Amino acid sequence: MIYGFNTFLLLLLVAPIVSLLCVKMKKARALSPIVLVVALLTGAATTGVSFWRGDRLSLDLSRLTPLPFALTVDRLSAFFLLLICAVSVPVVLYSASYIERHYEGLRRDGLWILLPAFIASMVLVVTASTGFAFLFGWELMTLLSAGLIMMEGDAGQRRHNIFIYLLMMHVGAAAVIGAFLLFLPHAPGLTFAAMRTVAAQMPQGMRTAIFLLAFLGFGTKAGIVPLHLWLPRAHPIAPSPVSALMSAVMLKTAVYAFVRFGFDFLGTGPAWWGYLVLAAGAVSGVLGVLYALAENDIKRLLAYSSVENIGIIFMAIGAAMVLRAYGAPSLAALALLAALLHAINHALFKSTLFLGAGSVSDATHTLNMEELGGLLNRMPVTGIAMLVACCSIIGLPLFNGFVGEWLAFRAFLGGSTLPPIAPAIVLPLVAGVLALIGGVAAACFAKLYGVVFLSRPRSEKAEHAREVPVLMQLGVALPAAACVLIGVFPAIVLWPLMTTISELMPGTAMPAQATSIATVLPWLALAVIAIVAVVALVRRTVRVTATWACGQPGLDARMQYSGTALSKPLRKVFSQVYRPDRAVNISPAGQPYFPETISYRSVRTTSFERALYRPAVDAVVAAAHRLRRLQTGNIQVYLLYLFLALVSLLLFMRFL
Amino acid sequence: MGLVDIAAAKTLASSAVFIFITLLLLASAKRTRTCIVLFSMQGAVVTAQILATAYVHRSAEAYAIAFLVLVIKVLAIPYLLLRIVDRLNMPREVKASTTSAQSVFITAALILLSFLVVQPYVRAFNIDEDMLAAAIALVLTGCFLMVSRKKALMQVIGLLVLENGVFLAALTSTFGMPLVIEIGIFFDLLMGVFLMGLFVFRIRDTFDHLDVSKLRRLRG
Repeated sequence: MIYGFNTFLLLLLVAPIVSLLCVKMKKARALSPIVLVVALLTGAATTGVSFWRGDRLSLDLSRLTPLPFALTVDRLSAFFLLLICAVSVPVVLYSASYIERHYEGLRRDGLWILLPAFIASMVLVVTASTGFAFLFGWELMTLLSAGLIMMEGDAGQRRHNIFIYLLMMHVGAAAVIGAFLLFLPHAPGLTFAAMRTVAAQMPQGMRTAIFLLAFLGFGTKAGIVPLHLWLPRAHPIAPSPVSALMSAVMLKTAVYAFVRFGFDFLGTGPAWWGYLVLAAGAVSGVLGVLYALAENDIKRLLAYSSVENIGIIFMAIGAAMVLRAYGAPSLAALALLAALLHAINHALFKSTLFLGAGSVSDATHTLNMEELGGLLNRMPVTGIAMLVACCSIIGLPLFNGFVGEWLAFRAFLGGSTLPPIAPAIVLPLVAGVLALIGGVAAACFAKLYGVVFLSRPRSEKAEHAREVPVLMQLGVALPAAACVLIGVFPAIVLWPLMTTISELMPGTAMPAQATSIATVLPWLALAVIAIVAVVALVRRTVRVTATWACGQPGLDARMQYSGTALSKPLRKVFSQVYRPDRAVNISPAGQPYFPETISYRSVRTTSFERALYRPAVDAVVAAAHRLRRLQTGNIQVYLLYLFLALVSLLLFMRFL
Repeated sequence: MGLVDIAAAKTLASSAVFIFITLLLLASAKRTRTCIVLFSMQGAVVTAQILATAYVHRSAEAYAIAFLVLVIKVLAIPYLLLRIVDRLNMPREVKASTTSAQSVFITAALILLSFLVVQPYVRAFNIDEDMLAAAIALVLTGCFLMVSRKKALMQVIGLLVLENGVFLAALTSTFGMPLVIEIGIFFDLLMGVFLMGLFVFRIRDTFDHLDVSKLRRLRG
């Protein structure tokens, strides 16, 4: 299988070069998506087979590089590699049509060159088996994704957002590098195998430092609150296929890396590590979904929803760490199973949603919900795929989101059976938090789907929407189909995942809770299909009439519930979280009963984010101002700096 | 012991002193032309030393390198620089930010510093103390010339002196680098001088002066 893996890597590296060569040849342009899809399918097939056989694929390039550089695909890597390949295929198919329709010249060529490179960097991150290879891939992933965002343009506010993205990614990367460097004295080559063996013998303080740095670094990449600031800024401004990749796949590389550090390297830690992750996950989940609810821009809503789902994943990971620390391995396995399953579920439905959002903006040229409506009739395939994705993300049974959240609930509630009092209280409470998240998410996506796809068009643009080209439909439909498949037959994912987890936590077997749900769901699906069929047969006639308008002469689109109105009750309940800044402007001012114009503005303030980040930003700016005095602009002064550095180094070497 | 052997030994023994003399003269020189001639003489000293090393170690490669140094550093580069000075038709002073006396004093201090810092290496690797100190002094003085002289041409000369130092350090510590690398470095150097010559003309044409201390708009 190593040949298959090498072919995959080679094709993946060839793909950007093909795109580069295609710049001049118009006819050959279809080649770059084809090469990329072939590469990804090769990768998926190879990884799938080697996963099934339990092979370890490895590729050691240390002879060619200054520091040890090797790739190894063990089961955990293979799982995430499969995720990358599986989600990238529909995204690339979608891009083949989307990029041609939206971009031309340099931007199109740039996207086709950077996109394969970006996928390759993510592959490098999940397969790397040395610290150097991992960090190389990690940095490359950040830079290439920023490059892809810039292909959309970098004027004004966009540039500021990209800057914040890069800034936070570099702070995160610094923490990640720190986590690796702490291993350096014990494992000089920074190979994962060596790190795994030395981690157990390291002093507890050092292990805690590594854990905290890893959590900080990977949490920044994953978008854990309060390190999530970049996420709702960067995702919405990227081209839709890139948003899909970033949200569905790139965030998962952080989950991979965190599981790699937390479970593979560090093994069992003290319980408070788990509680920390659990708390951060719960805060992210709740705040993410509440912020999502208040958004009226589809892609911003989806970006906040990513924060929420990452929160759920980290809650499950945290629960697994807690349960493991208290010596309940089978429950810990269940929680980790829920986390990894939710990771792949989120990748599938979030890629559908982001690609669907791209289709909506392609058809209507807007992403503002208040201008959309009635798209289901106009774009049936996209509409149904989006319905499937929305049902999945809120965790309705028979869709994949349900399985992951169900397992998470079972793991949290199972915590009540532990003898120590702390987890027996905390874990069931977390189940309550998850229920809250699920409820608000249901409201949020009911709003998204109801306002955008149902109801009547709220603008001319939505009125004249047309279904997108076949490739784009395919890109949206494929992951949606996978959502249903996993929702009905979760066993196809659960078994491979359990094999992965038993490699991380030896001695654990498939938890009974997972087996039971996997056996029930197909029968449930059968029952639902039977009921639907019976109802369809019995009810033959459908009456189509106008909506009753209280006897008034006619309804128009402006009378419908708007997205803002739909979320109002919940925003009112959680007004402490939003702290909205409201203003009603009536003009002319003196006549409240006969106004000419009324405008209403309600903006969510980010008070806690400001309170957290402002001091840090101020300190950095002040330091930069002080350092600026060094920059005189005079060449000779710069030469003098060099000269002084040289002399002091010489003296340092001589006397110290 | 033949006459050539004695000459080689004497050269090896005394070339460091000659290098120090050229450095002190460079520091005190007030005219650009003098500096270029001094640089050429410095190159000649280095050539003599390579020849002596080549003779002592019976190395054919070293003869080739000596020839290259003679052609490039003693003849070609100084010739190019002198032509630039002629064609520039600008005031001839080096425009130092320190007086001659101060420059000489600082250079002397740098030479002392060089002797100070090479001690551990001399003992550890059994290298000729004077030569290594001369190499370090060349590097430091080259830096100092670049820092303290305001005219763009003097930055070029400072860099060349610095390069002499690097070359000499390589020669004394490892008996020179492989010939291919040396050729590459010489080629680089020649190209560098060409480029810097071009830039000097551009600076003159754009700003009507060569004073780099006035070029400070790069600052953000």
